[in-house]
Amino acid sequence: MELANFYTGTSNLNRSFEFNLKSPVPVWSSGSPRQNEVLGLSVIVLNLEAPDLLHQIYIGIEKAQNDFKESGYVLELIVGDTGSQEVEVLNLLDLIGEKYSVHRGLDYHFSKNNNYLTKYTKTSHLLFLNNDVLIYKNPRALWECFSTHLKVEQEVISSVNLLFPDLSIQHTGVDFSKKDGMENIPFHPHSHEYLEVVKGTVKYVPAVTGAFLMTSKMLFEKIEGFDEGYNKECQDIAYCLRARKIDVLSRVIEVGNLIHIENGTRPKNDYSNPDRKRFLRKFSSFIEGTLNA
Amino acid sequence: MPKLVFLTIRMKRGYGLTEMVSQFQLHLIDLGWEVVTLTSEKEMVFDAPEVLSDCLTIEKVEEFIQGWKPDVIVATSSPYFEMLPQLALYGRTIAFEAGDPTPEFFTSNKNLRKKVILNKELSVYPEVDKVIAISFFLQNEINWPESEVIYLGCDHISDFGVKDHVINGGKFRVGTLARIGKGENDYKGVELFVELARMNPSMQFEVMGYGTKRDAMIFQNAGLITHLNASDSEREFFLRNIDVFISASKWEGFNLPLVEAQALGTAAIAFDLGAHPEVTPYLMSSINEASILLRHWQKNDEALSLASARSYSFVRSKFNWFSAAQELDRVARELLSNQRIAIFRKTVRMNTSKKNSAIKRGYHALKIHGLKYFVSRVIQELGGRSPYH
Repeated sequence: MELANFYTGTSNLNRSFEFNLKSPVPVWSSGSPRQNEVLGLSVIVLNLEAPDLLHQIYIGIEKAQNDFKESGYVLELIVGDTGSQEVEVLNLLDLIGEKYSVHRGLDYHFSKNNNYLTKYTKTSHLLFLNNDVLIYKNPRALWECFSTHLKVEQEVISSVNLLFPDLSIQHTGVDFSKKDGMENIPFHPHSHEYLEVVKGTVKYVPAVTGAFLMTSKMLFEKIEGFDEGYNKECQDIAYCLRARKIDVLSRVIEVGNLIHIENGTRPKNDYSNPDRKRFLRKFSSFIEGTLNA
Repeated sequence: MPKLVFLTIRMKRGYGLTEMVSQFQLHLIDLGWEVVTLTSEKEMVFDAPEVLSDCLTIEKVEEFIQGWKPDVIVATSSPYFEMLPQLALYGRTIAFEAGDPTPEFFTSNKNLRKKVILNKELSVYPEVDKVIAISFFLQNEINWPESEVIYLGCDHISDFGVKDHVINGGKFRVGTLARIGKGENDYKGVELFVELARMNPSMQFEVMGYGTKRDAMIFQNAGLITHLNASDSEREFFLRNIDVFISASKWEGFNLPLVEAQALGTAAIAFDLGAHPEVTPYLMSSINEASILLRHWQKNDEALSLASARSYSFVRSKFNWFSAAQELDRVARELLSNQRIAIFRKTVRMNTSKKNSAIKRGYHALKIHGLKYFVSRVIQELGGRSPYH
């Protein structure tokens, strides 16, 4: 994608309205303890139909509870449903709602939905999790990632290695292309390769996937959550890079086999040119000047 | 030796166009061109035989060109853009665009500004041999996809290398550099800069610019330090010694001061507007994001030093005047070697009727604005009356 395309279909004048001062957002202030916030992890999942996937999330969270309780942390589940109508799903949402937080009737929009659901979380940390990450098969992955995340003093964004069902790599961090014509487009390195990684290994990477993205709520609020200007993709990578500007690094932790049925939540090749243009406009120079320098 | 003439409105310090023309003139001479600049006014510092002032009218420009016989005529500003179609009889013509800020940003002269932009789109770009834009943002902004992009350089600025350490032990200094005044304030984001200062009282916000004491009042009233009409060396000293440079501008075709600050080893941030995505790694999507980054750098010397070094490397490796001149040299020589242009020009000379001219402009209008606009435009032209002229 050429630089010229960054701007096509956008209006500088319209963008300038985003910078007017009529309703400035209060600036986040550091160190202020949050009322009613407990140490722990809020797992935020968006769902549409897919009863099996939603069910496995519920089972996985239930199985993971002991690890968190034993160490004195809270683990909660927040489900945002984006219009399911299948009876099986509706019954499942009722069941989950008896114990956890369920929000129905959302219009699917990754950034807007997740930013909205975050307001209902009660814990210090957030995990944005796709419903097609099969945690019921490896529920301990949640604790492994969370406990490793807490070990570092400085802010970080954590994710994990994710595998395709054939156990080849689906996600081991996100990097940015240097190929001609594809410069700075995010991609998954080592995709479909078979790698052996020792459990507990931590690797720092340029960015991580929104399919499994763990962050402190403090950081999330400080950088004002996911950018709602993205409609379908790149918002997760943008989050990592916005954090990286203030030197918050992203990393991937090996937590044992964790399957991600990629495109379980979005059709394959469902790319968004406006989102990519927005991403490239906002981050190409940052990637070139800092990450790929 | 091929000859090239620049036509530019003024040769005065504090103007990016002046720097641009000076640098191109310097480097094109190295590349084997004979170069002269015609301008309407110049400061003493530009008083050289190859810079001729008081050339504001088409008659004066034409008189010079008929005598000197340049091969290539490059206009960098109005009213010279508008003269190019007429000057096409004498050589290859290039409109080298630095752009016009969006008229809606201005409280006065809005309609006049719109008219100037539309006139260039309809009556200048279609009539010249090449349009060049100084950024991809501008290429999109002027709505002329056939244009080429040639970035400006930054190596006219002294190279002091990266800063080994954060220089200021005292207050954290945040500076900006811009022409100031009523017209400029409309789009230079003055209110954003002042708001950032208000949000960050522990930092010292400073403005350096060309303007009057009266122009500076808006900053002084907000408690900001102002430096008016500094010399080149004072400007470099300022840009090197502030901790962070901010451009709050809402429209820039390139933003030379932003690039200059980085070339002097100072981390620089700007908002996601204008050509800023192309000229700084630290692009901000909101005033809050800018404020958070400033606070982060204020508390972390190491992070600021690293960001400053990265900014320095980014612009020094990307924006170079000799490379820019090589690009212009390539474009100009391609035009000179293109026989089809010569034949086309002859054809245009033979068929200078209003009808043909209207069809030519209409073709471009069709490409850009669609069929409905095209039809109305041709009808207006054939009827001998146009609302834009």
